Amino acid sequence: MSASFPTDAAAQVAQLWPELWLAAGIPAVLVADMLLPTAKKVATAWLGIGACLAAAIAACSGAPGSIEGMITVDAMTPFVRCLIASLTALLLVLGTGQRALADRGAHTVCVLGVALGSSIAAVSANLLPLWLGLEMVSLGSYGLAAWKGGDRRAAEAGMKFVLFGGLASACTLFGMSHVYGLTGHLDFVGIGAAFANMPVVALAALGLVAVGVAYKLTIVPFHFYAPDVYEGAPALSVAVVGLAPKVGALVALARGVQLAVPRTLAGPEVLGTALAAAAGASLLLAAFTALAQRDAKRILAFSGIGHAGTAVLALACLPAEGALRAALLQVLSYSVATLGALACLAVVEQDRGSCRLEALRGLGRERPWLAALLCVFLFSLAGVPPLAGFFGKWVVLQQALGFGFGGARSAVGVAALLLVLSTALSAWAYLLVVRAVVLQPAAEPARPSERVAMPVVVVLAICGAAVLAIGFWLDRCVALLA
Amino acid sequence: MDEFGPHDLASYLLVAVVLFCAGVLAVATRRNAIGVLIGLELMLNAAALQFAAYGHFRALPNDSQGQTAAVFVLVVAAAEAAVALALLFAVYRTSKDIDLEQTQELGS
Repeated sequence: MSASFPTDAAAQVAQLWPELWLAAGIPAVLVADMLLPTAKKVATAWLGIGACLAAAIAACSGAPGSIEGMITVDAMTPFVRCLIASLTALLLVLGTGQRALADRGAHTVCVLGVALGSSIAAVSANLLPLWLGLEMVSLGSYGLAAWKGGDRRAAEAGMKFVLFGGLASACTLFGMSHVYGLTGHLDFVGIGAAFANMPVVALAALGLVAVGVAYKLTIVPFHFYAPDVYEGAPALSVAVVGLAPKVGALVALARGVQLAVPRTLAGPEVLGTALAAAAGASLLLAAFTALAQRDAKRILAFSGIGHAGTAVLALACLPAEGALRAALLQVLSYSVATLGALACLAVVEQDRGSCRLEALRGLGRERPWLAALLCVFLFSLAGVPPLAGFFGKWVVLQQALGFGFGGARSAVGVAALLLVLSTALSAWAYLLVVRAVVLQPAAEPARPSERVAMPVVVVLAICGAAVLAIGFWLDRCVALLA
Repeated sequence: MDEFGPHDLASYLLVAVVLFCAGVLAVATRRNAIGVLIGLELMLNAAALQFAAYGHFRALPNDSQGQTAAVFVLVVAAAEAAVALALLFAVYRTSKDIDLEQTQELGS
């Protein structure tokens, strides 16, 4: 990192427009929340949506570049930032459809904070901004997990989230300080250069840093909080906590793997094997444990663990061209399907107070359209062919099978086999939900249900269209990512 | 003992490791959520101490990243403690207890 002040400071700050828009949204929402009467607090959510859309537009028009040793904007970044900002905008739209949402202004601030943190994590080329981005995600998501006032289970979810999250964050920080002590650098490129002359053991410090990233990605063995948080937290919060942060953490992991691990060392082999092992363990655990669940949100939590494993499997092939593209396509298809499924479950949660499989019974009769869409999203997650999820898994599998880099080859091969196996197994868990929704009659006679709020319909339509479109225009989606 | 004095990196690292291990022990064994939280703070501060020590003894001239990181750690640790205490308060209000084994309800 150079000590001199950059002469083209304005040009460097311009790299950060998307993050600046999100950051500007936060005080704007806070002030609006203070000034608006209670009946009009919904406007704060629309302000947040405006900030997200501005960030998405700024992300698309940004050119590649960097802020020395801190931020890197590369060819993938516009897509990643755009995905994070548009997911967040959709979530805020979804929030406007919930009339009973408590403390709307603060909710919008937390959602924007999570988006900002994810975005910063995705562009950082230095451990310090990466850690700050992850912490920004954490602080917002801890609060959101418990966003159901007076609810015991939501409070417990928040507490588990904050205690385990703090542990992961402390491990990351401890590892970071060792990396700094060993190399004298915090920026990825400097770390990579300094590590090139060190024994492989030194990579353990980087492994400690990866704990915090793996926690956000819910990779085995740092996944254990996810099912409880997904079950206890309201469905809307689950969507905030589980989607954008995963995109940010995945890109941060990819950048760390590419830059901070030197090529000269046994690095790529050790790393590829470690990533493939983590991916395989995540896939296997998610597939088997999901079968025993009796709550739709818990099943989605294990689905998230499995899909994170799939994305990490793509990263295990990283020196190969197209690995990052495969991971991003996978995470895109996962995000839209999960957002749609959680939007459906949020409606169910409002109607029936729970997402347990018993509570889902008879949904097909009561709300046929919603039930049909929920099934489409679940089939996409299961990997049924014409839908997005199938292609997400397909590109990763293709990548893993075509992988030919020495030491890590067999590990990647085994993990690819596990991907196929776990896809078949976990389809059964999704079918449990579909069975409850479509086949089983409700325990009580159907209640006269309210119409689904307009914003929710809009979000469901967008997600449904995306799930179909990604499948039908796969070539274009891949080209878009290139 | 040449390598363990106030002017040696090793003594600071030793203190940091002891702090970190004490924190891990507290997190692993405490049943009271506040105890766990204190353990987390110990771990974060161990890392901050290590950053400052490495920054003082190892850094190149004109490199203040270690000290900068230590200051960031202080701020973030305070913010995290505030959020954590708010959540523990929410748990206490709903279940009148912050014993981690008594408040288990999820996952059944």
